Amino acid sequence: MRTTWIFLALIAVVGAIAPFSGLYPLFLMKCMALAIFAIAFNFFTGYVGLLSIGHAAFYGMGAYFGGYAVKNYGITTEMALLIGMATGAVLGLLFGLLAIRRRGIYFAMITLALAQMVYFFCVQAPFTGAEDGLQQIPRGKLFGLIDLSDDLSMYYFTLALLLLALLVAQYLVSAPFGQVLKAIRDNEPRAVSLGYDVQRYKLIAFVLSAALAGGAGSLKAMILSLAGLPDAHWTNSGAVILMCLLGGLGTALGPVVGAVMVVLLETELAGVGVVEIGTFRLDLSTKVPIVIGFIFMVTVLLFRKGIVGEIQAALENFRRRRLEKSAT
Amino acid sequence: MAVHSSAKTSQQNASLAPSNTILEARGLTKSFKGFVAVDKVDLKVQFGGIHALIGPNGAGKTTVFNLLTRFIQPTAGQILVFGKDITRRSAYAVARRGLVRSFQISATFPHLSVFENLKIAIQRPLVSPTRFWQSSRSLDDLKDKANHFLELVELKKFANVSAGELPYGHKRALELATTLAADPKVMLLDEPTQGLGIEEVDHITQLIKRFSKDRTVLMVEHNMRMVAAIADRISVLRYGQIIAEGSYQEVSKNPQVIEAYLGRKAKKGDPS
Repeated sequence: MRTTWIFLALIAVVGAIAPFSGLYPLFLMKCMALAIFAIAFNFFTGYVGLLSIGHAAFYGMGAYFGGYAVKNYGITTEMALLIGMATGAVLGLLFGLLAIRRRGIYFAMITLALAQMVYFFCVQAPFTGAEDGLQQIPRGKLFGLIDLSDDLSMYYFTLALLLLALLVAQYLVSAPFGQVLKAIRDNEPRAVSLGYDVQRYKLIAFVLSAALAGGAGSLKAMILSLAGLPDAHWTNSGAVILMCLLGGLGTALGPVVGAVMVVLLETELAGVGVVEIGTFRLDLSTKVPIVIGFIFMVTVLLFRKGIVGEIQAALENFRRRRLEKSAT
Repeated sequence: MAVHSSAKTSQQNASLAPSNTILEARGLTKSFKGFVAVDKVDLKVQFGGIHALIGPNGAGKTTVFNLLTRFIQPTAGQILVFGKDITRRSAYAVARRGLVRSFQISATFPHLSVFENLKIAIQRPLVSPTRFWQSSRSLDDLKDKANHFLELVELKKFANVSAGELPYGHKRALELATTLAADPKVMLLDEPTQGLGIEEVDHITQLIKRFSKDRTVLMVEHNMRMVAAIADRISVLRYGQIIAEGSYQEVSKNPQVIEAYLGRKAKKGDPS
């Protein structure tokens, strides 16, 4: 718990000075919105142990609904976020009621199928703007007072939200609720035999995760002034799985590290352009998915627990060895 | 003896009258795709003491356990707890009524500490998934209770160790403590001494004996020495049917039981 606080402070400090280091606030904000999305995914899949391939639906619909409301009704920023969260929660409840009793691959497939239905709804529905997406979404005024159309103010607001999301997720995981989730993940029949309504626990964890994903979606819509089909596409669900596996599933900071890595890789690789080694010529900017896929394979093969997970395990090992040494 | 213990406890349990039956199965049947694993079992477990369910391998003992605790759905028959029908209740609801089971393969939460394992069992009536914001501080009062159970099974010094790292015997002791910490009215123990060394068996046997003083234990057990030592009442299951019931002396003299159980054991060439 103490190390988590130290890292939170670290993220706050690094986040606070990052925009003055030459990195674009817009780029950083995109990273952070995805990091919140990954935190949401990690809260469910990392602690309940069921793989959802439907989280893009919550993120995408959160983006559309939040964006639509702030664009057409001129509501304040925090209201738009709440609408995004409510959208995610309602969809999550629907998905959850249908899928939560299934396990393993069946749960994954049902969430994927439901998310595809949502995606085709987004393609057809008039208000989403189909291929064009929902454009020119304003950022609104925070509490009706602070104008966030300036990138730097929006940046600090987003940073605060990221820290808040981390704190809330960490709190829930260490609270009795999260302890019961871990117990269910460890040994479901035993949790049932002690009188826990495990389906209810899983369902509520899923709804909370979906709500946070919806909030992340509406935040992203306001950051980039755009909500589009890619947000709700299944590849977005894939991306968030990738982030959490790279960073470390079931760890507090894994999702953040993973999100930053994936976004960095995508933009950096696209920027590298053509690589020429002798007669060998490779246009990297068009092969981003291949490179990321390769890195993903290496991670899964060599660092099972993800980056943060491996570091944690190494620290744990070190601590234990020192204890044993001092004992003898 | 069952008679003895029910007489002893009848005063405290006037509310349970007219009968002292705490758990009852009526015509309980389970068939798996035509194979009848449990065949019209009638079973009455009286309040207080230890009731053992024995029988040769594959007799359906664990299936009976799974049926009684609603982990599987019976094909036919009824299950009553305190005279109330629970045949259609879900497993967690049955547990909340006081029927808490253990498992054949030691069931702990391996990634939680020993202390947290016990806390999970104790906190259940105080937590709810719809109050997910509840803080762990609100459960601080439970620490003493958890420590009490840790001392009971002599696991105090392992309190902060992950349950998964405990030696097998300690895991079984922890499982027993966790089952008891859930404050059951009936404890259903599925082979509590399986896979343990002689000393550990004695330890666990004593614990069960101690626990059974003011509650009821129904256990499946293969260790006949242990059953003879502590069971007040024994039901013998064979091919999914109850073939005998009574004290150890009565049951062990029953010719059907000798044929089914001890006879088969002798055939394997067991000279003692």
